[in-house]
Amino acid sequence: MILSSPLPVLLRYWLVQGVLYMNWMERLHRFALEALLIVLLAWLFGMLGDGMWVWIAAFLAAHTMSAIFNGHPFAVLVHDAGVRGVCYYRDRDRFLGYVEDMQARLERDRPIYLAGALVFGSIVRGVFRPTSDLDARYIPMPGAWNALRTAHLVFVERLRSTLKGFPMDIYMFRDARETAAKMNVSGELPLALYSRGSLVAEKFGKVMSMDDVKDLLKKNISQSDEIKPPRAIVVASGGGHLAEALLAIKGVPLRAIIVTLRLPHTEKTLQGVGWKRDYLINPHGDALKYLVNIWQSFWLVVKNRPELVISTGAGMVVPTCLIAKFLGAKLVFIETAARVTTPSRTGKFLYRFADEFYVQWEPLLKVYPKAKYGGVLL
Amino acid sequence: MIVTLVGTGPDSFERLVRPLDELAGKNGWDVFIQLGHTRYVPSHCKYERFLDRSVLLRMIEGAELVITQGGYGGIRDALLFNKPIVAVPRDPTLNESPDYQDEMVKAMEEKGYLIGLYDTNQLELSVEKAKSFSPAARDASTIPSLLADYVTKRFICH
Repeated sequence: MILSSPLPVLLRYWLVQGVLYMNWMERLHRFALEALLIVLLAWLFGMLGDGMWVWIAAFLAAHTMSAIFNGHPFAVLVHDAGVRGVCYYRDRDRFLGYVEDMQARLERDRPIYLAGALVFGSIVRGVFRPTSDLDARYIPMPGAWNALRTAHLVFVERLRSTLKGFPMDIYMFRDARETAAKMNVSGELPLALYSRGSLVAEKFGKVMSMDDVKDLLKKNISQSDEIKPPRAIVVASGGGHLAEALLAIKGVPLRAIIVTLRLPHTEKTLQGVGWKRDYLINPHGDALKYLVNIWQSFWLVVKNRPELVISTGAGMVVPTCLIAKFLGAKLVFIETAARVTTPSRTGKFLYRFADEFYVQWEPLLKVYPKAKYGGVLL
Repeated sequence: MIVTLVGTGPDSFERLVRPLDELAGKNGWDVFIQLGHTRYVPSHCKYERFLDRSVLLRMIEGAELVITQGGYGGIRDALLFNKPIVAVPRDPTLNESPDYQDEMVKAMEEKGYLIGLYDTNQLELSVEKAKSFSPAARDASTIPSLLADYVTKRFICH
């Protein structure tokens, strides 16, 4: 679990940056660029001081810049770490629009050193999720010089995807053999974005066109079984708050996990509700218990990777809501029915972070102008 | 039978339980109290500290009247069975609860869902009133459908 949580994933990504996966020609291109960057930065830093630290700082800075501009930060965040909300391309049509632009660029330039460009992964199986990334592989014409130029083209595409915030991991493969070794080609036909003449069809056998992929995606959307409801943490303290939260999510398409206090009667309240559940400690104003609550909340969010956090209060929900929100979830807060004209402390505090805010009594709209009024949950 | 709910919170609610117990003795009322952490132990009423939810709901179903603290849970459970309700808000200035309950009780009284009782010396009067009271029809909250709309738009159909 921990290895798929955002921090370790990012750390591992920063260290390795896909180099283990690359072939030697692409590594050469990559190392050369990073070396250039290190020398440049060392020269810059050298104007401020001298000694070992100049080179260490230059390396760290260059390596970090490479991770951003010569890597796939958005694919890592969205696809590997499952961090939500960082990516503009959660929408299927926007995502496909980007892929079509890639194709248009290739068709326009028709680079003589490139034999073909292929796409693998979920979209060629007709599946698109908001966490999908694009696995693109560019294949050069034979010869070292063509390979190096293809590696450079791949670098430019990588840079472009980062600047546009598009989740892509893209590499150069020397030939069909490397492709077969590194990709699962038996289970799925790749999408051919580009082919020099009929080279791709000759080397890779049957491939799909952009239109095939679009048809496949459309078919699956209408079957709609690929669309899963979002993962949600529903957090509320025991008693009334929990009862309200359970009423609020009735009939709402969610994969919910109910998080509450472990009280003698909560198990009973939750009986037959059918959701997964987890528990937090109630800080009761105790600083140490607050730390425990924060730690539990952090784990909950890392473990469940919610796309949505829904809460009715009270105060013990604040760490869970903020940590989830900070790591990309949307926050929905429902002010408790106990509040008619004056806000609760928790509601007032979380109002500024909430993406959706509901009140159960109309007078509260004066206090929370952006809220929506929905009547008492009974 | 009169079913009384004072909640399962950590605070005592003697201000309600003591006069109720005395009235039950005086008038021979048949009263059950879910007592929670209230320190006063009634001598004229049946009581349990905590009850399984399913058992409690069955008791409410059979009650002629529900007296409850001003919390959301008890009021909701009583409304579920359309019982006449006397709701008594706990008062934080008397260390009866961490939060005020009178706001919601007053608002629900205005809607005709229940009878609010703010001075427990008037308990007998409220119980008499409640015998001929039936809660007003309630509008369903639109919050679940607002939430479902949001989730569908934001996460399912982009």
